[in-house]
Amino acid sequence: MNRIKLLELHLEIGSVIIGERFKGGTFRPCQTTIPSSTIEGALRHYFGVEVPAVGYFAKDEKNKGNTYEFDEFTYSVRDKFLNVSRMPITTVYLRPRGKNGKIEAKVYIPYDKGVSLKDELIGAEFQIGALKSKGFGKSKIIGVNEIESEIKQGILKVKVFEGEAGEFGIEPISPVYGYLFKPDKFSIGGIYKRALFPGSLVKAPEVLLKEVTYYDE
Amino acid sequence: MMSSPKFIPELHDIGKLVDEKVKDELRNRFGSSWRGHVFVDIDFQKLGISQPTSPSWWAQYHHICYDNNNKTWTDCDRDKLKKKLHTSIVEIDFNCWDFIPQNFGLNLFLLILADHLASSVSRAVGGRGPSAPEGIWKLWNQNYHNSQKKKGKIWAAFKTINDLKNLFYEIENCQSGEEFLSKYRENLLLTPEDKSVPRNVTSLYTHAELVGKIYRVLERNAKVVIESDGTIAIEYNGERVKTIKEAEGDNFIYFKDKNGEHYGKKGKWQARLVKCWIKFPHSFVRLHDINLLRKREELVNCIASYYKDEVIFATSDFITLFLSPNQDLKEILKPLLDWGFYIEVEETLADLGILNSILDEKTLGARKCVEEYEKREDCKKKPKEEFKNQLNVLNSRDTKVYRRYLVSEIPDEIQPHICDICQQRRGIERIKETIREWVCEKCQEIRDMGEPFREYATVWEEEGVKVCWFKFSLDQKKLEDWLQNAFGKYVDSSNFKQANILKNEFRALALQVDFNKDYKEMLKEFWERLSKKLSDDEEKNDIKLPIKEYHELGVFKYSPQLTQKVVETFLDVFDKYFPDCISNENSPISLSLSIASIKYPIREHWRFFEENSKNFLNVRYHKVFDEKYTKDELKIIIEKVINLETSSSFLHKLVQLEERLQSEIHIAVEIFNNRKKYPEIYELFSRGIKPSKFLNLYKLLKGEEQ
Repeated sequence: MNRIKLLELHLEIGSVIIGERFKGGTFRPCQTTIPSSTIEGALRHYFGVEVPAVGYFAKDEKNKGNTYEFDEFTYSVRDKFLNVSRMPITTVYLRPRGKNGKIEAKVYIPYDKGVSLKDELIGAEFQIGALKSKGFGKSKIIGVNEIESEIKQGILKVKVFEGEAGEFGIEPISPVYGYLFKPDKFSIGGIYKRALFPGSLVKAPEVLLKEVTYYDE
Repeated sequence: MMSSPKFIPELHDIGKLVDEKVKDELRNRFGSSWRGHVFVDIDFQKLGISQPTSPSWWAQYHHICYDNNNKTWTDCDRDKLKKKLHTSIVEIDFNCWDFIPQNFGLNLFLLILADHLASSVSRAVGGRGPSAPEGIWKLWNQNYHNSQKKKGKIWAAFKTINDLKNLFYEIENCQSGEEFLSKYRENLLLTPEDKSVPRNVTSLYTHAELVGKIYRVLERNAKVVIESDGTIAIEYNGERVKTIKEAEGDNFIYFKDKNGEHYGKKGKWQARLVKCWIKFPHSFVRLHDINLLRKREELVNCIASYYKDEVIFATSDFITLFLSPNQDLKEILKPLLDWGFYIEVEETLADLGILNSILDEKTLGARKCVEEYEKREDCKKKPKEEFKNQLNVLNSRDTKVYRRYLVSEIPDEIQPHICDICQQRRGIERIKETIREWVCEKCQEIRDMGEPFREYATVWEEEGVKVCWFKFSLDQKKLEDWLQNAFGKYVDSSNFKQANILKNEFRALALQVDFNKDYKEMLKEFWERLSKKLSDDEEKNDIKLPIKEYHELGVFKYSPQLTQKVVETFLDVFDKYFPDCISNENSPISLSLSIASIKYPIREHWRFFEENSKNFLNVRYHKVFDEKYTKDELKIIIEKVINLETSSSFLHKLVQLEERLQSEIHIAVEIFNNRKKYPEIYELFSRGIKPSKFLNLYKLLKGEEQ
């Protein structure tokens, strides 16, 4: 049976905003997955490493429901040059469901690329997503496991750069494409790179699949 | 001037439009009549009518058999077939078809194949029940025929011996399938394809329409060829055959009966049924961007009219196609791809004998249950062996199920900025009213199609009103599931010995087509009725159909009164067209309402409409509540709470208690203690409806201040 070894990170996150790519407008929606671009950016910033990574918000083990719920946060950006506040912006964010809870997430790194970081990652705290200055995105890695996941055909549940998919053992059969932003090495500019989006029919580690399927290829 | 006559497959079942009394009348007058619904054995001389000479006449031979004793061709008799006294035409070499001029043989050959493909239950399966009362039995509207009859509409188009002249005139002179379908539309819609239970569920209109489409797709790909030994064969997709059976294989997959196990044999001819969900990555930034829905409507109509045979049916966001194995799907859908739509495709390739619209589910289900039998409770209703046998047959018959996404070519990388709307192409900077946007050429072209309606961004926005966007949806997967269940229940209600076989060999396609037709009619009537309910011009100005051709989407200046009119009109039309259809979380049809300030982005309303877990009615009142209702809940809450003017203060109190204590027992005690004062609340609660559900509906339809 075809299997792949991955490093599985268990994260606990407070309220978080992983923004949709839309610019402009005064209402900003947020995503319910953790794209490669977001988690790789966080790992680069906090650990100084360039590793492929991808993640998603995990379901509650007991009731199989989401560990988050939606809320809205309104803020006003200050124009420092004109010394005035711009029009208020409302953003959707995810907050933990239930009192004193945390949003649970799982992040995967190809084993060979992540194993040397394992000790450093355990217990590490960092921030992901947008509006970090307002306290959003505080995350803690509460567990790091080495797992082996079986490669199966199914529907992908993550957003991963197409060029990095192979490192996770993901082989597209019929992809749904979108774009993720990849900053340049100075984090000044960057480029939109094609990515596999949720819903793609792939062969992939079962942990990255929304459901296993039995289509002809 | 009439063109030279063509073979019109739609006419093959015209005999089903004849009242049974005509047969009796004929028998009384001449001592003989005709059998079944074809006129192969009728005595034209006695009737004083000349036999039609058009190519379409030969469609009457689609149930012909060879009588082994008399050595003649005759209309098939089921009992004689069982006793092997008759041999069906499907098993007889095309070279021996001496009852028909050679140049029409191919027409009949393909017609029979198309007729089998368009039936609601495999022809191979027995289990014909008694003749049904009369007229079609719509699974979702069981009283349909009776209600039409009360209005004076009748299924029979030919009611006297004299009318038979008209029937044969049609066979002789009809110029096209469309002409026939349109002329006899009313009768065809009231007549079932097969008058016996449980096959009386499909309309003859849809059956004839489907047969016509499938026939012409096969015809474009088939030809008569001469073999090296001088015999004739029929070639399709490179495969040569001499009998219908050889072409389609057995009309069943696998079943077990008192005679043992039956494994369907492979046919040589295959075709594809392709389901296409039309999707888009665009987000609606401005009102103009919803022109994309107009564009989608235009493109779907354009494809459906250019490929009118291949397209079995289409809605705004879904197309089902019947294609030969080598036809290029991407070419057909190219207009949609060019405009940035992407298509989720589920495609089934199978022998003509078993191809149907739920074969994909059946095949994937069998694969899943063989692979994961021990883990999956839903598989355990049948023994694993049955799935294995089914799968072995499907595999041996080269059945394939594919899932694909069709997209236009998109680059590996895009330099900033990416288009704000489609996020698939590079955006060009555009500044309007000091707002800077990046929009690609295609999306700008869609914006430039015009403003859907002026009031939204002018009057309504200046007034700062709340708006309610609403959208109807038809979930085709839920529809397939429900049709299978409903057909199963219908079979069970008649105590068939072969109930399981009938259920297994059910084919949903024709019913899906009928259901989709009724859905479109329902939407049209919704807007007509709503317009009549609106009290004055002001109210009429407050509600809009933003895309004129697209009846699923509406928007109005939110008011409880208008919302109530929308919801009640939906209930009225749903009950007219789909009174027997499921109307809970498994409902194929749903209505979603999204209410928010006019500043709230349209894309967020749309995002709510696109969510999967829908119920009959889904409401999102931004920052107030999210709620879903079954039809029963909706009706009883309207009846007991909305129409009876229940005190809102008591409802508020209950909801506060629920939130504060989170204890159902306390709520129950409170409701019980007040049961005399508020008996309707007690009744709702005892039916399991939570107080927040009826309070939220109360807020929506009566307003919060009440």
